[in-house]
Amino acid sequence: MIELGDIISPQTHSLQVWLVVLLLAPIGSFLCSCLLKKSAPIISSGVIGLTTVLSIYLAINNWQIEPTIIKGNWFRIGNSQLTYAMMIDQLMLVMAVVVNFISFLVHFFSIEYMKKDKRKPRYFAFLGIFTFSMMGIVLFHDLLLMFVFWELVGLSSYLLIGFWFEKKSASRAANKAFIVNRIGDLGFITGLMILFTQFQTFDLEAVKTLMVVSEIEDGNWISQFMIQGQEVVSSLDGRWLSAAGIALFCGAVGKSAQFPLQIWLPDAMEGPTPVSALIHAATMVAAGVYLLARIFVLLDAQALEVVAVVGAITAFMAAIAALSQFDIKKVLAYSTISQLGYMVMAMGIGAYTAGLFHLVTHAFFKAGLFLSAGIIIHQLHKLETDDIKFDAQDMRVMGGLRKKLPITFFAFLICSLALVGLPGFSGFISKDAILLDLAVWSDIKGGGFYIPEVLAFATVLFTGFYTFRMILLVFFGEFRLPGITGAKNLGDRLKDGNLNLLLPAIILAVLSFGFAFTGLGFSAESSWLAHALETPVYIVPISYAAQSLVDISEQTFKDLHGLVTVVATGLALVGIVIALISYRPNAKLEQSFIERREPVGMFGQVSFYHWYLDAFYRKFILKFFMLFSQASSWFDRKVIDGIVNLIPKITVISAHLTKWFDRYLVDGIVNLSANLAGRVGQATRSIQGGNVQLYIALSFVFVILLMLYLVF
Amino acid sequence: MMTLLQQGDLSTKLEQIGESLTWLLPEVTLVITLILLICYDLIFKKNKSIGLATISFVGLGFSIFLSALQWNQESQLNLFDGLLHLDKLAIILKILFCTVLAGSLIIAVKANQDRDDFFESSELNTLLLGVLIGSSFMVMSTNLILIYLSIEVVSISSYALTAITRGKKKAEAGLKYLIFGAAASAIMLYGMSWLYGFTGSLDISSETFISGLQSIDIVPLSIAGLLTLAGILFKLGAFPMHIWSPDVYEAAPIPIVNTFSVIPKLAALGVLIRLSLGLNPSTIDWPLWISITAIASMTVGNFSALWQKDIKRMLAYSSIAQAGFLLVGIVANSEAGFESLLFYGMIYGLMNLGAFYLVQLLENKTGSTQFEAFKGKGSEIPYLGILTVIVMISLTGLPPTAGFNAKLFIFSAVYETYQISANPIYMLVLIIGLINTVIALFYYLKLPYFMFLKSNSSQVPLTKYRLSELILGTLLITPLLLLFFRSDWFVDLVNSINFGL
Repeated sequence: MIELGDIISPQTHSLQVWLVVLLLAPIGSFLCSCLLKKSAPIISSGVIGLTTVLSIYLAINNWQIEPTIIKGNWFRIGNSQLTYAMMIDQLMLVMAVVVNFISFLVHFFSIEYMKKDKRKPRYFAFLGIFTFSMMGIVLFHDLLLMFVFWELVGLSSYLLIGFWFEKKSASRAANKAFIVNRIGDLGFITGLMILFTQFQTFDLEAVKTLMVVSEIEDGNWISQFMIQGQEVVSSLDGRWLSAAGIALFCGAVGKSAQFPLQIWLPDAMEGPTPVSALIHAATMVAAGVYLLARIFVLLDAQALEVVAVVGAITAFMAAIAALSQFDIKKVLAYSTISQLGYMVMAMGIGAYTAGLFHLVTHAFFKAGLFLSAGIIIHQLHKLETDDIKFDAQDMRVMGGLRKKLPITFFAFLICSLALVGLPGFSGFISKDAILLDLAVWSDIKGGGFYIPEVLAFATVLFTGFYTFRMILLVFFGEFRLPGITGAKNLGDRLKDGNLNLLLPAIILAVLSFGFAFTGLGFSAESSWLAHALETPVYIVPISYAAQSLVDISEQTFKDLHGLVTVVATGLALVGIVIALISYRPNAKLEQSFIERREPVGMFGQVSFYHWYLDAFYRKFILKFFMLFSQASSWFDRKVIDGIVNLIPKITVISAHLTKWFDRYLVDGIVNLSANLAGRVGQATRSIQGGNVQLYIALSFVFVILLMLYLVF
Repeated sequence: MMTLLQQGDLSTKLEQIGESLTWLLPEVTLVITLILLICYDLIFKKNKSIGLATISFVGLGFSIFLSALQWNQESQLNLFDGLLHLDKLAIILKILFCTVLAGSLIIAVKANQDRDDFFESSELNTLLLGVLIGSSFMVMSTNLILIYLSIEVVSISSYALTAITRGKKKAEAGLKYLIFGAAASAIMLYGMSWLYGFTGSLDISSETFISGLQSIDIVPLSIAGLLTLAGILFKLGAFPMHIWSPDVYEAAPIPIVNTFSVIPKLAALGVLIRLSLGLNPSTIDWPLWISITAIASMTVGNFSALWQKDIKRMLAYSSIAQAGFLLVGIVANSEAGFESLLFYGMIYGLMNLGAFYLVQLLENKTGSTQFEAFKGKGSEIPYLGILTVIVMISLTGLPPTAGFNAKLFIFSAVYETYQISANPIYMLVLIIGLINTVIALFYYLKLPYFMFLKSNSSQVPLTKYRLSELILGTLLITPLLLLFFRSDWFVDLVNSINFGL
């Protein structure tokens, strides 16, 4: 039998110093930014740059490392020893590089982007905190500490979304993101507690070790182990096993903006654009997927089905919503949700490698898209004067920017092609891998499980459409702003950004090419990254486990591969062609786009208002919640407060009683003895009216009373 | 007689005394410090404060160091032919006393008005050292005469300390204290003489004493025991010998009050623990006695504290209540009980130090210790206000402070004893103790209430606080929060004591 103390006992490794440096360096950046107001941008970018170099160095040096764990004791409560654990494996190394690298590019980008902002130091300090929290999630291999950093990520995201808090919409968006995330985290903490109840530890590796030996007997989930030599048998109803997985998934639903909690992400675009690139495209929203990867083997068949279906629904819904937005960042936000849906779905169908692969490729191309959009917005903002005001994110004021911002255009185009998933670009490889696994999965499951497949393939079509609609409206045709404002030569002042802005976008665009991941190869199997992230085998008790894709023969995949590639690429091309037809320069839709307000027609409105989810929350859930809180407020005011008020009243009454007792009975005795003592000691008139004698007399009386009581 | 004084016998005795003296090095250090203080005072005429302070702090520090060295030595030592008993219980308490006294002197450094009294001449320091030396001997002595002597050393120093600072009120309080103390000590001496008469032994840990007690009739034994107990309760400031404390506390300067409210109290508890170890519960109902005093102390202290308008007086009454809570550990009369009592004692020392330090700072700012003076001042001095809230929460015994752990441990100890013996008196102590904890909330939170929830009536702004004051305050308060999470630091120390039960 396994002794819990053994599997959570401290372990060290020579790399741990570097991991701590990696974790704490962003905090150093935070402190520097707080203290050195003036040079905050440079210093913090430098610090993050160094950690990026460090993380790349660590990754290269330890690429072949066997998964190693560093553990230590944290604190004890009662008999439970709580520990901390850090994991060194390829997944952690990849994530550390991605997070630091993108964070560094965003820092670098922000030096120019936030140049005019008077709260610059605060901005860079927040970025530091965010990077620190994200590294915490990546490094720690312990559910409790992950949860702690999970919350910190929520906090820093809140701070950054609401960075321009004077804008009412920004502070509301920050609140919305924070609250919606809390709802998801409620699930996370529930999952934590279920696993802790069963296994008495938060250490993920220990949980996995114990999960392997736990069994399902008569529908009960039983695990046996020893704590300090004593045998412990935990038994829960088998459904709790599924519940634990689904509850932990709820955390991911919140952070990764999955249905039904995805409503916060579009609003979160109120934050500065580099922040959107860092948090709402590449890292924080990927944390949910990362969590799923970490707990992947603990999910049972039912939980995995939930994950897969939620992911597919999210991908489809968001793709529809992206079709008709006016705001360039909103389009990108919905496309992010949609791609996250892919990743989550990949986890759900067991395509661990493909999902994480897509996470990495998406992190680069989507950050590139956001940064390019950031350049456009930044350069357009420069045109604003006291007389001319416009919304620099609205695609209705853009158009024809290809000639004004050529480098940005190419960066944007390459990242877009990766997003659409055309062969040769990184997005193609990872998306292809997901779709292939999905096709195999649907074939195995059959029946209703073809629906996710249909949704996922439909999403490919819509992705092609909305991406090229965006490109055509932003970069082709005539520059529409002069027409709107009436200032004819506005366009002359528009030019491409400087090196600070362009360099990160270019780097990310280069990384959106397929060869960055596969070299000369064409599919995911030939990628070095896919080999590093092998799909692990489920370890939940066998009767609850899902069928692993690892067990399916290579041939099944090979048979389907050609078909999937052709269909997916074909659908994407169809989407692109439809977009070209309807939004090409001088087409009818393109001409009338400038006057377009909210769309008419059922489909248009569903898309524009994101399936009326916000309205649904406002009208039903919020209303119900308000009613409920009014009721509970009434209960609190009338009933609880009534009781609470009663207690002090009783106390006061009893104190009054005591006072009365004191005044009449005790004082009575005192006065009596005072009289006695006073008569005896007339000659020695004492200080303060004979009090001290009284004191002594009183004490004696009590001592004697006590004696009488005790003896008789 | 001649045989006793034979040459060989005498030399072994001398040898033993010499050997014992090496174990008394911490006390010897304190005595030397005391003498140095007096000499320094006599030799130098001006600017004595730095020298006096240095001597005091170095002496205390060195004594702590020497005591700490003894920690890992033999666990039980009988010194001076059984007059003194040096064990871990004594060492831990002695270290705590030195620390608390050092803390009191730090408060004195911060005291605006009273600082000159402490460091312009050596009297107050020497007297405080007197209290410390007496208390150190109290926790080591197992001999009735020595218990009496050391209690008297503490008492006499205390009387002088109360009266020595200027002011009519102080002289009056000192005199009251002296008279009351003399009466209490007379009672105790009387009780002790009975005990000696019954058993023929003064050594409370010896076989003759313990077996002698068992052969006595219940009535005389109860009378003798109760009279002796009364003297100890006087030092503890517990019911019914508590009446002196509010007057004394109100009159004395804050650093002295801090010393009084911790050192003699814990020393008295040390004596009580030794007495309890010697007593066999079959002859007298010792837990019942202590229960009654504990319940009465808690209740009387709490209800009196409720009505106080002055912070120092409130703390004085609350210290009576705290004495009651401390006594609960004796009530439990088990290893766990004594351990939790020591833990409570250590936390109590820390809490009191923090509380009095803050009260001193607040007094410096407003010149008053009335609650009224702090109306709405919380917004002007938010940081001090927050520290005050933490200390008060800790004194009440609520999480997340160490005060909560202390109360939790002590009540669990009583509950354990209750489960073993099923004597309803333990349950009664537990319930009344819990109720009293709730009552304590009302007066402990009165200061935060006045500071933060009442509106500011006076327009006079407070003087700014200095950074050093804040840092010191933070250093004093953080352990209270820290020990809530890591109470095992102290618990491990306490656990290593062998009570020989």
